[in-house]
Amino acid sequence: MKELTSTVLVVGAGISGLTTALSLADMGAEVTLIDRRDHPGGNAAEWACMATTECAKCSACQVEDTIRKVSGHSRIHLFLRAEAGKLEGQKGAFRVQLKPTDSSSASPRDLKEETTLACQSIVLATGFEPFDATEKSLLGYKMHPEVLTIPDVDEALKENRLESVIPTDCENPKIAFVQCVGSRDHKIGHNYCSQFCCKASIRLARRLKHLRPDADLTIYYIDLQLMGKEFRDFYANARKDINFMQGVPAEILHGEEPGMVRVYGTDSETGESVPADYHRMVLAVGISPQPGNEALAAVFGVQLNEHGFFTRSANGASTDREGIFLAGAATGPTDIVGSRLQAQSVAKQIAMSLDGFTNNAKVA
Amino acid sequence: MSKENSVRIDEIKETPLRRTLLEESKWKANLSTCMTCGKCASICPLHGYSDMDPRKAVRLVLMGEEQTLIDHDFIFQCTGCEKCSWVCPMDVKIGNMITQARYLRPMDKKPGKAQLTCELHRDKGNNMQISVEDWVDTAEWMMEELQSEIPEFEIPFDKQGAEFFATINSKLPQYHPDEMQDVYKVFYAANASWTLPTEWWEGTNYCMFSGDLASWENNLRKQVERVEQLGCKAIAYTECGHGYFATVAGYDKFGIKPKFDLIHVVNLYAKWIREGRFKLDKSKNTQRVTLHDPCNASRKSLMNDYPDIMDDARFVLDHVCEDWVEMWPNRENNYCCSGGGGALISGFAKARTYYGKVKVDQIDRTEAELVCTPCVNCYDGIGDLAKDYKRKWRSIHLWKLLANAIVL
Repeated sequence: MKELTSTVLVVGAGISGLTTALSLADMGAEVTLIDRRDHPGGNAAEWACMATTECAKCSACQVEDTIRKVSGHSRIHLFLRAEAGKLEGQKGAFRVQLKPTDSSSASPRDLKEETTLACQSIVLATGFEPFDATEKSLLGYKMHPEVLTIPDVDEALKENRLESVIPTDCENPKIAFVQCVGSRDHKIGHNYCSQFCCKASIRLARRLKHLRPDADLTIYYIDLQLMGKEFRDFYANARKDINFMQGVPAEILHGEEPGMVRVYGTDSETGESVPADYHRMVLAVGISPQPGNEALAAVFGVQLNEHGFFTRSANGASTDREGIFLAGAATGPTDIVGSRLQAQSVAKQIAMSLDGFTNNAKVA
Repeated sequence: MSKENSVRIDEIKETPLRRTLLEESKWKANLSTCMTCGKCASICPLHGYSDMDPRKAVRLVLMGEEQTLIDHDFIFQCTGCEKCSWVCPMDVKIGNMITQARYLRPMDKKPGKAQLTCELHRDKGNNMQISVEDWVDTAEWMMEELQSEIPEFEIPFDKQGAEFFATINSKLPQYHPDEMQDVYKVFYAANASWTLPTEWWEGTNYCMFSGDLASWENNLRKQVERVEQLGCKAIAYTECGHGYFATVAGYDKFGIKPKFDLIHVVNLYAKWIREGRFKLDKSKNTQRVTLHDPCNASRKSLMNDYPDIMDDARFVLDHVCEDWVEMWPNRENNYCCSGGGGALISGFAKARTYYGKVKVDQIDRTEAELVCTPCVNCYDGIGDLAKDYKRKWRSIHLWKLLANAIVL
């Protein structure tokens, strides 16, 4: 079996894991970074730039930028299609078994064989999974072709095929967003706000308006969660060309015309029922914990909370097991900016806990 | 709002509705978890008919203005379909709240004929005050009609020790006596051990919806007594969602523990088909059929952990129709027929027409000629919508489709 030595193992190469690895390496640590997927960047790697005539500060570009820096960094050793199998030892002297998820893969960045990694600290940055909208069957995702999710539209934008998601054969396409799909939903155990989706929908709606100035855009929301000192202004501007409707529809019905779907909203002023037909409904799907968290928690001997995210210890950045730290959406909903802040903070805490990285062992 | 004018929700005085909803565990409504997301209003077929909708109703009660709700026609125009409770992400039991508001409406202020039927049921044993003589006469008249097809058929009236005690909704003898032949034919063809009681045979119970708890309990206990006197193993509950739900829920509410089972006839049909008791010919039902899931025997039974008929109704249709299609949404997500929860007899005809517009659209899209309604109440609800909206489709009971397909 192959043996490697690093200062820190980072599990998950999404924006949190990448940033943690980069911060640690910049401080002098040797970092092994692993991810189960065949590419780094996690969920955010699929997100498109939201700029209109100006930058919308969506941070999507930071993902590519961080990937580039990580890929070229001499102290970061990235292995894709890799997962952690077993853990022994304690803080300062961990031994982790790394296993390839697909041993037949040909890519040079993939982990080729089972490997034992000796490291001093571990960071779990396993991120999240977008909520599966088919679980809310009344919204008709995968049944009505007119119903999409934010990741669907993002992917189309990223691949320059907007016409595949927004009809080109009509003027003034009517497009609506439905917020809180899979968030703030006690019945499915998600009684939390996913935190990024209100901002994501407003940015995406503005981007669509920019690309299709004739489009008619509406956002159905419960209450807008717009943290960040600059976002209030962004929202005030967005109100000029996007309709905001308080109240979210529980159900998406067939529209009057083929190719359209219908929802019933409420007029906030009069309380009247407002039926409206749309060419496209975009579901703002929230954050679900990684389904792999349970197995990983067992391997690392750490706790998950009631929702399936990793539980932080009282000091905030680590688990209850000394030497194992947490960053990003593995601990619960956050956005790119929040993930990066957490990652930088975790890197500093690790540096402090190990008294700096002067005694680095080199990769064997 | 200035601090002096503001009111803390927990300082609002305890009013009867709030107290029930907060304290009685069975009726706990989780009102304070409402985050006004509006999902209940978005699916409520009554939203927009008046100045009331489920979300507003929750707000009123939370703010201590429950009397406005109790006095509002909305609570009786509501069909108790409980789709609002079903879609609520915070598990606010809006349906419970409306039911409790109805209970707080004084008896003499309940609209339409809902309360009258409760009293007739209590005093005469059925909603239509049909005497034992008239009941036996009608039942025998239909027996004679059926004898032209099945000469040896006899009604097993009050048969001691029969396995199944059949309930019949009083609308059948009163308005659709012909359909009693279908019911007979199904029991006959299944070679079932059954009895048609001459008393307490009523297969519905409006008291639950009107809010006459004493009559609700009385009617249940009288029927239980009769079943136990006859020594039957089970009530075969007729195609009436309200009756079925008011019975299972009533046994729970009043702590009634009968010495027999309660089984919905649709579940029985499916069981009998699985046991190979019928020879069936689907080609006897060639028209396109769609299925309407009755709220009480579907969503509401599911939400309360009672056996529902959703799978079995589909199983039966698979065996008796050549062409049946789902409407959307369906099963526990279905829309009410517009006549549920006593709305059919509460006298708000215009509200019901308004209520039905999504239902009509659901049915239209299936291009079906027949709407299978395994519920006497839904049968009339859908039937009224066809008249109001001038549609050609019509409702049909499941027993009719089954009886048609049975080859003797």
